[in-house]
Amino acid sequence: MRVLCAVETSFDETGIALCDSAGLMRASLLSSQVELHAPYGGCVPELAARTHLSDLPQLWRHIEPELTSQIRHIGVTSGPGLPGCLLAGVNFCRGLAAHYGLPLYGLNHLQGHIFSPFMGNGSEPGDSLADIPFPHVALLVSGGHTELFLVRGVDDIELLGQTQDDAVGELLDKVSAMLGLGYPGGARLEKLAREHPGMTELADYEGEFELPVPMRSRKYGYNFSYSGLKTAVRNQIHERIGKVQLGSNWQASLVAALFSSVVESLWFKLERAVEEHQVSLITASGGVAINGFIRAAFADRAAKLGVNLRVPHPRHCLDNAEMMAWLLKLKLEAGIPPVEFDARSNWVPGEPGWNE
Amino acid sequence: MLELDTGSAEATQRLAGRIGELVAGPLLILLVGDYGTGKTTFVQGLARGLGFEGVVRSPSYNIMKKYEGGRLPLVHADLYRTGSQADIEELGLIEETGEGILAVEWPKTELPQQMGMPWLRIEFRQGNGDADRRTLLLSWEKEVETVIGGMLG
Repeated sequence: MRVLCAVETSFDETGIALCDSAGLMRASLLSSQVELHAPYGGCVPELAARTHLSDLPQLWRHIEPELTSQIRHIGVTSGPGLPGCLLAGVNFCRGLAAHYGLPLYGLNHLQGHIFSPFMGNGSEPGDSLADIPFPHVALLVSGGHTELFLVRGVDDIELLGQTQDDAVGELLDKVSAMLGLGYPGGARLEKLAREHPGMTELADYEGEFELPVPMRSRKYGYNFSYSGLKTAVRNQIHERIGKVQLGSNWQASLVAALFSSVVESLWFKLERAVEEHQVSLITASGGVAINGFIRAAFADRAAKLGVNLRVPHPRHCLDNAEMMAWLLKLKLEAGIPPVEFDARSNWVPGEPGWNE
Repeated sequence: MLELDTGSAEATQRLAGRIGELVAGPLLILLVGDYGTGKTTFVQGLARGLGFEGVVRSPSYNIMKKYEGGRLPLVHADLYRTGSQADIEELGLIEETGEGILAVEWPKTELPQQMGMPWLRIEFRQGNGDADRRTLLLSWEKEVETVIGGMLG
């Protein structure tokens, strides 16, 4: 059996995954730094880079020697991410590749997210390259990214639009901080929003708050913007703080209104992209794609529009090495050769020169 | 110390753009204020003033972003979670900024000393009653006097 190995260290998760040519994960090791960084309210760069350096060799030692001897290709996330973190992974893998005499691929982290909806789960191997419909429209929503892509092939990706200021996950984390709920914010806010009686599973909101749906006009193309929505939420919070409102759970109502606005703003662009590019499939990936309102509302709306929706298993939404191993598997299937590379901290698929 | 009122995000950006047009050498801009008070909005205007034509996004997750192509390079950082000497070295803030502009959201008090650059501090306060109105409190080091003078003149 031939296997491939991928290493991910772009931010605050250290991961190594080994995948066989059928797409089955043979080993997956993950060391999360989330708890390490939580007291600081997010990832601290110097601490993160240092932790990757010490965790990588430790994780490597947990892999059976029998399995490491079957590795034929190595891949490493070479961007985007924090420079020191990326270098920790890239240098580790350059060492591995030299030691075992194996080809080394530099992998784009966002591309890993884009193809994560096609991964298998546990004993299922996932889709082969021939089973993935092209072109399709891919939405990537996370703490650092909000982008819409038209995906024509593994390495053939067009960037349709992206946020002009804040990412959706960043908006959620900052609102969570404003309400004193802490980091990471997405899951905490979702739990709170479900307490509001006027909120449905499909993110239809009824209540006292009227928040804007940002960029809901064709004139903005496929771009997003969440800074104004953040300020609107902040203004609502400031208006109510200090006023006694017995028996009122206005925070739950406000957060429910926020999710409703976010779902609407994202879907507006997805629906337009489906119409313009006549695709039969849309995907949503990244940490915010775990959100239950987004998953349920998108599934309902996609069905009504007559398109398929694919979302990753929740554990593949957050940063992980498995999705990078999966990406490398697809690249090998497509016959894409390894090229020389350096770590690139800013590297968005579809931007000019991204694939050079 | 100078106090300026802006009635909208666009007015804040025009003011920042003027600073971008006038600045001639290395400058550290300390941006102080709560979430949603206009710090990144300010940097978007600053980049325009420097002649940078691309999009300036929030640096919160990448921690640092660099924009080249304007009259001077612009580095935009969010040091909410960081700011130790080790982190500043890890990020390469001094090397990345070079002779350009460094705009920092959530700066620690020791940052001007760590960077050794002339600084301009801007505090963003929300105006009373009007959600879009902001009061900007500016303070600066002597080296920055000409920029402030030009902005007012």
